[in-house]
Amino acid sequence: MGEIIVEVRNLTKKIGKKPILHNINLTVERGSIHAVLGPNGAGKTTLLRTILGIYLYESGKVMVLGYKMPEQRSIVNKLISYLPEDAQPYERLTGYENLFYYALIYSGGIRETAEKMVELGIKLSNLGDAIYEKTGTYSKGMKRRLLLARTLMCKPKLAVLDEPTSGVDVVSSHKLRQILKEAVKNGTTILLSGHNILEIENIATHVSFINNGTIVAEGSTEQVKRSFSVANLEEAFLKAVGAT
Amino acid sequence: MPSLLRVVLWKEIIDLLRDRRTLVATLFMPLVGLPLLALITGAAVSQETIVIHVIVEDPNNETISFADSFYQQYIDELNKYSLSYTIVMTNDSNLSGVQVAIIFPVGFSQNMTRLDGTARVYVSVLLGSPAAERAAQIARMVLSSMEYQMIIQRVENLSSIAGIQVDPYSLLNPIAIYSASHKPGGQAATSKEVGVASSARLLEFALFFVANPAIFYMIDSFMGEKERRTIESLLATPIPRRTLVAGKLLSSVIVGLIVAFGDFAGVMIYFYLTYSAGLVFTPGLVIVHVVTSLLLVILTASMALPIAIRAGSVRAAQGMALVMTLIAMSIYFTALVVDITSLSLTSRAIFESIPLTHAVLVIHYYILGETMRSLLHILVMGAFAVAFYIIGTALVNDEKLVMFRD
Repeated sequence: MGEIIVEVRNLTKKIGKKPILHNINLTVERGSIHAVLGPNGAGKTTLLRTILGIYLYESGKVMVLGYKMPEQRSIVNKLISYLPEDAQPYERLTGYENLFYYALIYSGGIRETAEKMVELGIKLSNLGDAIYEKTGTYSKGMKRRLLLARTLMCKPKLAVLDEPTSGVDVVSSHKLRQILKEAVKNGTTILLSGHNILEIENIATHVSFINNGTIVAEGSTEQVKRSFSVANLEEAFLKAVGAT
Repeated sequence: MPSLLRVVLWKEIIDLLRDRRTLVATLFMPLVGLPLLALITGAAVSQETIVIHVIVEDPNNETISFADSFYQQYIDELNKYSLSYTIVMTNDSNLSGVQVAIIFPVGFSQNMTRLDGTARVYVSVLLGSPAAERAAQIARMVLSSMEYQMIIQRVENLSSIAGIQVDPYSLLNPIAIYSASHKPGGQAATSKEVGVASSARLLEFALFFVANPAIFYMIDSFMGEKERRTIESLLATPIPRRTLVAGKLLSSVIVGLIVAFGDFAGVMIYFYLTYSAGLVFTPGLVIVHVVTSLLLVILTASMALPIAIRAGSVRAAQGMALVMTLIAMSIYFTALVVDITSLSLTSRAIFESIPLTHAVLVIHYYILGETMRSLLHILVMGAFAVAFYIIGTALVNDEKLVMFRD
């Protein structure tokens, strides 16, 4: 096993009085694309938000890049980036300004460093001249590409992506997957969630199946398929949750 | 200024200033709308034609002569007030189509010429017509003036009958009342100082228009980002919460100030167009008002901060902001008609526990020449603003900021 980037042990999380995550264990290795897969309402977003320290938790342990969360969140936030499922860009700002704002934040306000990040962001988003237009005019696919570029341009050690391809067409989805593969080559580990298992099978190296707030299977995609003696992840998931 | 604070400020100001519809809506109403309202009202009043009939039912020549004299003086007065009217003198008592009727009934001259008689004149006004009310008021004024001349005449007649020498004016006015104003220290106030004090009351009321915009910009800075789905990714960036809060607070204050001064200008133009004769400003009063307005914008933005952070949704935040606005309106309207400093201790304590009241007190004490007390209330406003900023920063809760609940 390689270096551990995310380690979750016996995590329990409630929202209000309702238990959402039960005794979750999860390990994400450096250089992997680790997908948390499960149906809507399984607890994927809650798990990612808890790993990021946005949500507090009742019991268990969450370590990111060797730092305890949420206590050491201020250190971790400098090393990671996050794309929420339903995130939107600032619509009154241009694509360039959206990138520049986040680049300035990640560079600590240093303009030269920020400009280099934006250069990479422009390249990753591949939006052409549209990058100088207000994002209010963008299509959903263009917005998602911009936001993914914004998430990856700072070359984070860990990028957490909640349903990165949700709601985008086939072409945009393909482009987004290419961007992710490029980011991994540049040293970023990716933890993503999704419910379209067939789509994610094309890109993920590791998977965790989550159902009703519980991890029901975890490992490399090949390991998981082998352990359920199936040809694809969808069949493995259906077996894992006892649907077949 | 710390660089990350500058970054937040840069983005927030661009975002707010590019929201042209909101800017125009918040600026347009007071800056253009209020002066326009004053002009339209003025124009409408001057164009409204009032139909006036002076009806002489008493055929006696003395009544006709009195009515004729009234008619001439009435026209002179109506012209002084720039009213638009048509006026006729008639013996037709039909009031159909008439807005103001001044009726001299049968027997008018008989009662008028008797030493102990009371002659009646009826001034009838069409229901629900403010212009007719104004014209009727002028008619009563002219009749009072003519009545006074008749009283003088009667006193002169009586003194002649009694064979005594009297000054009718002194006889009729045994007490002369003179009005003056003074300051808290007892010194007499000049007429300029009286004018400045009256103008200051209008300025205190106008603070409402200064207080208002920052509340809504502050609420939008957090709840707007939440609803536009832009805040969650920001919460996972290295930006410290206090920097994020300070940046949003400062940007709300800057844009709030731009709108507030626009709104204030609109209100003052409105006051100038409607009460032009009564407004007196001194450089000192203007400086005090500018400082108070600046502090008030910071204060209201800070007060709105906990709402912006914890309201849960834009709708809930707007509801709470409306309550804040109503409180502000009640304080500044009260300041227009009541001297808050002369209220009972309990009432005053209630008013002073509301931070917005101190803006009124800054101006109030400045006008009274009590500079130290004025400064004290400036400090109180500043202390409240800092306290609300600290409370707001402490209330930031990422879980609540990203979660949508009914």
